[in-house]
Amino acid sequence: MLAKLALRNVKRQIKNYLIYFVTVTLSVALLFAVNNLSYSDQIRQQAEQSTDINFMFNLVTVLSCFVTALVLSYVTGFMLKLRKKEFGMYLTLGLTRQNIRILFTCETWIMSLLALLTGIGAGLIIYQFFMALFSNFMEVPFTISAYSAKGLLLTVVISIVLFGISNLMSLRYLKRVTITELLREETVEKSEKRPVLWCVLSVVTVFCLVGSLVITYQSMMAVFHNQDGAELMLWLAVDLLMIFLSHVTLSRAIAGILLKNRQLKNRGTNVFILRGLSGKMTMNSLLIGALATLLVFAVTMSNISFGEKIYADCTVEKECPYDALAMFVASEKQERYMEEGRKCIERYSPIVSEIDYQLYSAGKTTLCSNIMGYREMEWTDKFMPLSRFNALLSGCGYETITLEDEYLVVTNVQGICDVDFSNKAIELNGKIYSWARSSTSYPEFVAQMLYFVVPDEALENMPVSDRCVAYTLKNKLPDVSKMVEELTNIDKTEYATEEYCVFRVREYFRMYYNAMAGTLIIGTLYVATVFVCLALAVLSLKILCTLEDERRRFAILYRLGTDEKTQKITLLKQISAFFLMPFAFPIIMTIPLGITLGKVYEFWGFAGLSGQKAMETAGIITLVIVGVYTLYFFITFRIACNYVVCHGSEPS
Amino acid sequence: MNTLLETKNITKFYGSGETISKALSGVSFSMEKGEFTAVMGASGSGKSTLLNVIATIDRPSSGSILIEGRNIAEMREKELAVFRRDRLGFIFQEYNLLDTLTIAENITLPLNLQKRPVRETMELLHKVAASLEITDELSKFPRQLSGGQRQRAACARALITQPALILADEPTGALDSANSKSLMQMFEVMNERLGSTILMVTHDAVMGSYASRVLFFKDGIIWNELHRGNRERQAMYHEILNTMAVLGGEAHVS
Repeated sequence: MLAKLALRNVKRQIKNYLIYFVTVTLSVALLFAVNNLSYSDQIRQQAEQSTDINFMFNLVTVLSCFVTALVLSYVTGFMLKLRKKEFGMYLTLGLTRQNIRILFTCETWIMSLLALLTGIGAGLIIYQFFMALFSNFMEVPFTISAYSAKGLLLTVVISIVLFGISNLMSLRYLKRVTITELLREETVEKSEKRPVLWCVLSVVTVFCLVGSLVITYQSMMAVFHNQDGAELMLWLAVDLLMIFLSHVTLSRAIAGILLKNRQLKNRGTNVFILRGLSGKMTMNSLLIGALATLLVFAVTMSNISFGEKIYADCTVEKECPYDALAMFVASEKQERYMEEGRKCIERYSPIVSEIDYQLYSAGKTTLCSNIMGYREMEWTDKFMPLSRFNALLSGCGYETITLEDEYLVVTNVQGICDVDFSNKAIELNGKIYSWARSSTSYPEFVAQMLYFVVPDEALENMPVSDRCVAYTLKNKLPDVSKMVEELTNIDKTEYATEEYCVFRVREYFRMYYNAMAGTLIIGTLYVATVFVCLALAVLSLKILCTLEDERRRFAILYRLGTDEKTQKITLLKQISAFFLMPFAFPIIMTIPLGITLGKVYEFWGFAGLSGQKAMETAGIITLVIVGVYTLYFFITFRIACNYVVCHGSEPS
Repeated sequence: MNTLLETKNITKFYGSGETISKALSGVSFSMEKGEFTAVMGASGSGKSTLLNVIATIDRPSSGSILIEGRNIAEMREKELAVFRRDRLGFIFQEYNLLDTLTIAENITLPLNLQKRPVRETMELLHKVAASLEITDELSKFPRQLSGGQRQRAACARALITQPALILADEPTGALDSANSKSLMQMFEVMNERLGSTILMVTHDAVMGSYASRVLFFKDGIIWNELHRGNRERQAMYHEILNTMAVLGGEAHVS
């Protein structure tokens, strides 16, 4: 009989508790997708290039389990709260406590197993979506990826363990709770009693938040200027703490302060909305603070990971502006090595054009001694003739430059770029050359972190220190890993690795950076998705938990002459204000984040894509979050509307 | 005197086909302005259904209900909401105060819905609170008040818009005898001094005896009717008891 009753209740719950079912399904689906990702052959192949990728997927799996456990315990608690009166009634009708526990266990297991099945079904699609995204980042064609039996097994085991734990917690509650407690009405959410105090605290915490964000920005810029950035992590932690505290205080203050405005309060159903909101915010201020912090973390991570992809694309173009570069220290064997390298490259693709260029050095430290660190290491000044520099620039689409009795400082280190050379002139071949400017914006034509471009005549009779060749190839390289392996074997130095080979191959760099950025994006997107869905699910459940009370309150409003439209608007305002509280700041945060990332790109020397690209990325992330938010909001509003709004006939 | 409420042959059916049940079987009566009428009868006799259709929260199956000459049975949903808001006042057994609002906010909510100016709202609030002796309770929440005080607050909310008709559904149902007596005396004040027209559904003969007229319902029709006239309340009470004994209903006598 209990099984029959359980089955009937489940049928009813699927209709009534859509959010519960969707949330559990989504949790399982995301868990299944990430387990498949970590066992994917395609990803494992990429992971061989970096131990960070394996670490990241392990971390994401652990995080997913933690979040899924949280969601499950929360939704099970929600179910219990919704049905506690019914259980109290069963007990008064003569069912034993054991009967109730069996009934609830049957119900939750039927629901959970159904959600497990639908979750795995949804996970199959989400996994392919993530793999398509990964293929896109890797710039390889997408093919339907195989599913992993291990991933499936792991998902089923983890889900069943988590279902079991949350079920045991509920059973423990049902064992101890009294019938009176089950039948008792929920306590009314009390309005905030000290809105002015909380308002003052809000102002203080918001002020501190703005201050800590400014200091964090300054610390970050200090790191880019190679200054001491030890406090950056500390300030990031302070930012998160301040986001949490400002949301806690604001949520407690805002409705109370609005209630002080008599004109606003006495307009239509405003007093009803504000009082309800005040109670909800007071009871849930810690939750709102926690959700806002999680969402800021998700938004920031998404922006940074997409920034990483933009950085990867630009870095490839900057670190390897030609299809292949050969960069040798001038020596007796260099000619032979360069010839071997040339032949190796030609085996993979015909060479369309090549540019020879050199660095010169007289073994002096006149300019390098101006730089801290270089001075101590007695780093020698290296020069590139202007004609060769311009040939390289025009070969990869940059504008050429002119220098008149001047020298240009070319570096890829912002700290060096900031060094003052204005009073540092150099004498070459009897002529004085003054400083023109310093730049980090040019591509890396040589392996040196610092060299100086001077007019050609300044370098007459100066010995060559480095010989380099830039190759433009005809075809896309078919097996770039093999080619780089062969080129590495030509480089006989003890430091030679595939990443630090004297030959730089653009396609190989691209593959390496794409693997890193792709994995980071998949990982952070996954975490962000989980955080956003968790936040929305919790908010929805919070709203749906109180529907019974709201139904009663709206029935009174109806009797007092509030029409259906006004009721719907009132409900809409109530739900959207509660939903918006933890979401507003993370969404607004995308603007300063976009600006900051734009600044970071500038410091990396990608001035061309600074603000715009970062803002585009931030805009897309915001749109996706707003889309998911709207979906959850709409479902919650529809359910609440159907349940709460009174129209036409007598409300119960 | 002017006719405020006039019902003509109201019927109300619930369900359909074989499961149809008739709650009202052609009820016709009228009320004058300033009248205090009680509706009594056994459970299921149709008295609450009558109140609900007059309150516009349920629609009659047939017949017409004219309040101040307007047929509410023909009004649209939106017009009904406005009519309910402006012309009707409600008092319920369970007070129906909003637990999240203070007493002052509960009382002024109907005026907020009417978009009345704040100053006028405050003046009316203090006036009605003083007349019902709840000025000291205005800043409290309903849960902080006794049942009697809550029902006074509900009365204040019903009175503040100066409605044409106050509808009370078992207003003393959740009160003890002392508070019930106090509430009925307040109804007398509302009726006699403030000129309110009251239609009250009750099971209780004592409460019914405060009314100037009592309608007895049985099986969805008006079975009998008593007028107090110049009689003492005690005499009216005995008359009601006698009528109920004949009616053979299961009305509760306190």
